[in-house]
Amino acid sequence: MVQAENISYYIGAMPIVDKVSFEALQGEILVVLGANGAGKSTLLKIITGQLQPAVGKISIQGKLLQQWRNDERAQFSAVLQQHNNLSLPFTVSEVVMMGRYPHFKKQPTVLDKTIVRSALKKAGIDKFSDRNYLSLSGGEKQRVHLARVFAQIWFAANFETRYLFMDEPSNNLDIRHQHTSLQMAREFAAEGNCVIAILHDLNLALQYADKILMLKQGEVIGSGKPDDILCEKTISKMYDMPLQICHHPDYSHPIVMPAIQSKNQFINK
Amino acid sequence: MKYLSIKILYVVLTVLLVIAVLLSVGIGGVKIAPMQTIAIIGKTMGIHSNSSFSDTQEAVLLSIRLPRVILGMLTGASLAIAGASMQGLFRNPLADPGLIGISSGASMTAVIALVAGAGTFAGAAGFYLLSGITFLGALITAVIVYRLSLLNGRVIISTMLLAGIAINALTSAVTGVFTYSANDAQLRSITFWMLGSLGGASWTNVTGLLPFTIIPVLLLPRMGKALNAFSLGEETAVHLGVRTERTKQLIILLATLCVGATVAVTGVISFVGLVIPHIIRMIAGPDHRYTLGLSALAGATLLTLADLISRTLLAPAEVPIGIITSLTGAPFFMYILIKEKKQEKLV
Repeated sequence: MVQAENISYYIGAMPIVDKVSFEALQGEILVVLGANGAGKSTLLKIITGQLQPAVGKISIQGKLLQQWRNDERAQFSAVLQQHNNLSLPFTVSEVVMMGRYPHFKKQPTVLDKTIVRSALKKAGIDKFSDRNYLSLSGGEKQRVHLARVFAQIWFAANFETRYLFMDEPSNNLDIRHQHTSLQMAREFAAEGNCVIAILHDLNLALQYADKILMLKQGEVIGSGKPDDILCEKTISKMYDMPLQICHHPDYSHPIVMPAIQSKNQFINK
Repeated sequence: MKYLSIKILYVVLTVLLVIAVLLSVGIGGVKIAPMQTIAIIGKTMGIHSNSSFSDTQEAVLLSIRLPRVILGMLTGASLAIAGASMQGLFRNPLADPGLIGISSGASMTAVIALVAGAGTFAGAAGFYLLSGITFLGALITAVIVYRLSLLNGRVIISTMLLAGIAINALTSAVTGVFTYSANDAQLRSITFWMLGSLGGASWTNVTGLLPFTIIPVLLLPRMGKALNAFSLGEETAVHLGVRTERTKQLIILLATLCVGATVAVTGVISFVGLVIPHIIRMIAGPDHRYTLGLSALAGATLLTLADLISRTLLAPAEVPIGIITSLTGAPFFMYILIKEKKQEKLV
């Protein structure tokens, strides 16, 4: 379980994250939504220990975040970042193997190698496992990092529950791979693990989230199960834009679309 | 992309190093054949062989050539491994201890110490004192360059190189001031520092240098995994369980320790830390678990050969080795720049 209690973070006097509390349980995907600059990435950086909150407590696996040793935490918790800038010509499988670094000392074990192969396959990049990472397209690179973080928490010898934090996992991906990446997260959560993801695409969020946390200017303006909290008023407020919720006859999840006629109408307004 | 097997590379480089050493100790005013070299070294360890050699050969090898070749090996290994680990830490292939001003920072403190504290640096104790001072000079410059070129946790390449230019300009100005107030003997030492030379080799400074270089050469390759994680960015390295602050401090400390100590003996020898790791990465791949050790081995070989050239090119006069490495290294640097530029275009 990841528990955040009343966390705030300021730049100068301006609150970037303002008294945010939430709980993400085992078996759940918690999706964080919000407009640009709503404080989503800052929140993720705080709960992964990259930034220190001015106020508030975060605990993971029943222990305060700062009480975990860095190398210990890396065995059961992985972070997929929005930007990855690797400039050395490692092969794809070498990059994915870096995900296993917290688990071995000098050389990878047979288990580590098996896990890397499985992760490559699951992310659909096993075909180019020997290719130079630098020669890949943006979306392919993103899938390499996806495979890397999944390899990291595929199996942890001493921890049952594992945690995955994702900042914009659908970044750079085409529609099919957006869904593969979230299906991987879905399966991972179904094994009793915990996922916290930032998403921009509302429809992806509605399809995969067990719980949603809506942020506006650093404050929580709604949280809970998608069905319970989703209303046109809140989501329109969140993005400062008229949005409409529709229902497709064949699918259970709702669809969100902009409530505007055409580009011209939007500009005139 | 297929790289050579790491084991084969280790064997090949070790063989090359042995050949370079035998060549270098054998060529000069007094010629010593490889078998004679082995026999003389054997004799010091109490092993007698059939090869015959003269007393002159024995004296030249043991008191002149051997300390000099060992000094060359230690210096080459230190500069190359320092370059390779700095490049990993700074996350860019142009971080050379000479280029970014670490060597000149060290040599400036050496010159200041020499002129200001004239005569206090004789003997082994004096050597340790001077090494300590140059190490501090190297460390301070490294920290300044690192801080200057850091923006939001990332090293900005252009800033790093400009910081190097600024520091090189500053140190050469300060060195200039001390050159003006130096006497003739000091002036000769200063020139020696500016150009880089293995001419000052003796058993005293070789044994003195040994711990400063062996410890970093043995410890730095252990940081290979952490440096690989660093290549994904410092934040990602944290998430992969690397204690980044400790890693950074340890690498800067070890790299400047060996650079500072070698500068105290040899002066500034540029481009070794740039060229060697680059060649190693081209043939062995980017994995720091292997590039650091291989760079040390190749650096030792290359500097042994460069010193041979510096002694024999205009014999009996000696071309400072720093001139040899700059003459070959500077064009190589331009080649790297062109290559990087082209890669940027492709990405």
